[in-house]
Amino acid sequence: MKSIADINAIREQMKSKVLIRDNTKEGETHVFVGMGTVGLQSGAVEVFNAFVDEITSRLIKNVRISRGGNMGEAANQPMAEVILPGAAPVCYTGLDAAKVKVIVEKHILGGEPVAEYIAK
Amino acid sequence: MYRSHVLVCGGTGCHSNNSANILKAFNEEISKNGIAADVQTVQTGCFGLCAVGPVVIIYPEGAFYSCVKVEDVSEIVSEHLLKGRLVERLLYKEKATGKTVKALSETNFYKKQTRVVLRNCGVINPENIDEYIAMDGYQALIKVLTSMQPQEVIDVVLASGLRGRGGAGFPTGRKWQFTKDAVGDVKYVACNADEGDPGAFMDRSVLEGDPHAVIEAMAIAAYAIGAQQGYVYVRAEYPIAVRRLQIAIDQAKEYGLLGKNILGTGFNFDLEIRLGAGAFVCGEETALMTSIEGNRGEPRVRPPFPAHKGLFGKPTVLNNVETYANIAQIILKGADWFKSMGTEKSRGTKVFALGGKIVNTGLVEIPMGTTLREVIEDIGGGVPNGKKFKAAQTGGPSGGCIPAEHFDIPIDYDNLISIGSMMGSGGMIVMDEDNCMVDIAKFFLTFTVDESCGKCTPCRIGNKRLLEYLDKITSGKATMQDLEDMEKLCYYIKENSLCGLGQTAPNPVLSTLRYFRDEYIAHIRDKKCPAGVCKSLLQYKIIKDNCIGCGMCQRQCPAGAILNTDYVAPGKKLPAKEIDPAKCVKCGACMATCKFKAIIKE
Repeated sequence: MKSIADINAIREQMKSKVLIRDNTKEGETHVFVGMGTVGLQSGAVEVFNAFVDEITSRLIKNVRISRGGNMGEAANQPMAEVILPGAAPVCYTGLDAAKVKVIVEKHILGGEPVAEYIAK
Repeated sequence: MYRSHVLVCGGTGCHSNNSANILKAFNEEISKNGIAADVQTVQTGCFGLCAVGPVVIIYPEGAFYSCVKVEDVSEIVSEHLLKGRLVERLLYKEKATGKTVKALSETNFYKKQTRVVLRNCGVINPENIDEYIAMDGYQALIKVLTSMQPQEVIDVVLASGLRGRGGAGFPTGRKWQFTKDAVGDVKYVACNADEGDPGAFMDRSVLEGDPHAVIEAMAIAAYAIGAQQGYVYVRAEYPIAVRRLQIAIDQAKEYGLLGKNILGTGFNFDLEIRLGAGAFVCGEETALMTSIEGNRGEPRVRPPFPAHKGLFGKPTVLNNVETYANIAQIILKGADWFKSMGTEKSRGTKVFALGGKIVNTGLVEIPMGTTLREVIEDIGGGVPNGKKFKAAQTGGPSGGCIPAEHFDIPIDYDNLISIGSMMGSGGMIVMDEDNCMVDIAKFFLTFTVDESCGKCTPCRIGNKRLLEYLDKITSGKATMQDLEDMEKLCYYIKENSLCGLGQTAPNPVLSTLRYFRDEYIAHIRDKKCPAGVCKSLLQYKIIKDNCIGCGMCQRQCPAGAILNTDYVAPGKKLPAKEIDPAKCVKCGACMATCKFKAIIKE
């Protein structure tokens, strides 16, 4: 038998686990992680996982994260593209989990692309 | 932490297409590839697009795979989940545009819908109460128990304008108010899940996809009217729905959301399932309650209404599954939110089960007031094979047809009644030019004749006689006098039957008579079935100028009905054949075998 506090605790804990299945996306932000052969070799999975973890644990809605194919620039993998609604795509290179956190914070939430990670 | 979710539809449609084994294959492949810690597989309720099942959705992309087979699973796992490449060939293709659609939310089928009742169907695992709680589940019950008086609950439901989704559209709040005000120490809450209309599967899908929504709403209703015991009456023909509902009830009891002293608030409510044996009449409220009591499911005279004398003679609230599925949302988001959807007199949304001659067979939820055209063309994808839309049947055997001339009518309770149909529980069967309307009326009437409980004479005998008239018409033996008598009989049955089944049984006949009287007259006067359906009125004929005299039809004919003639068509070498109508058994074998389109039926 659970109390109201228990039910609310389950709700908070479970929310991030089902957030990813949100279907009612409107004006959504797209994130593409390049997962071609080179990307996979250089840690694209880690980057993809970092995006999913950051977005879901912070309960950020309306973001669709996609695994994409090779994005070129074999030397600067892993890469990812972030597209805010109505904005031009921004391409990041040489990513890792720590950089993803910064991108989520500053670009996806703050709206300001992180200049130092952007492909040159 | 799972980064990818593989959702496999476990609704009845996909389940019968082997989706349980697809789920199993996913689990095997995923652990074989060592990604079990990253990928979660979930069996969900119905996604809605049953026509392209089994359906698999993979998040975070929301990639929408249709018609998936067990053999495809290893490719999806290795390509999509391991390498991040979508398996293009399995992605859903929109039939109307031919465009490959990557995500579920991008399809026209989903974009035009408003999912309130179905919001969790195809999103959560119905067998996991935690996922329901994550979607704000049981928050409405907590709100009601901790901060609202029973009367306040009823006031919100009243103000929302919610009307019963089972068919008749009685305001739900008023029903609750009557029951609350009724004198009695013991009161009951009941749920009608005895969905029996041919082609309707809305309630089944809600129970399969989001059973906790119904449980939560019944607990709220019980609190509002002062009941401690509830019953869900569900047909035994819905094994998956019954199983998931039982799992949900057990989980709710374990969490203290059902039973004694719910969440420590002192409120008691318990819920039990009662299985229906499959009699259509048990969807009628008095018959349903008689059946729950353990008696033969027969209706009784109303009044007294269930709100005063229902189950075991006690005041009872009886609502339909879909009605309940709206309640928690109304409590949480408020009456004004609900009122913002739909039309003046019909608020909110309605779920329809689209079936018949339509591309996207499946489950759709639309705001009231959406036009039939939007439902059929935009969401349903139109009529397949380039055929012309003729009519849509709503309300099942109690309803009527909506012809093409009313294509732009906004769908709500009152509009449908004004054009001689009814909302019903939400089955929508689409018919094209190849459907004979007399035959459709006969189909529904055969159903009601079978399902009449026999208690009252107008229904038991009247409908049987009515069916005989239809038989006479479809076999070309009727007179115009018969048509007139038949129409009179319809009104007699409607006025004199005991319960809703008999009172509405002639509706399919009356509504087809209203819009397609010319088809009835063609059957009677010209002895012709314009749609080419009624066998005894059909004639197979050989167009002699098209016939090359090859004799294929002659060899196929089981009755020796194809004869030789002396006529050689211009440009042909052999004499044409002809059909002896006296010997022809109308099997159609000749027409199927002829390569020269020389045989027609008319």
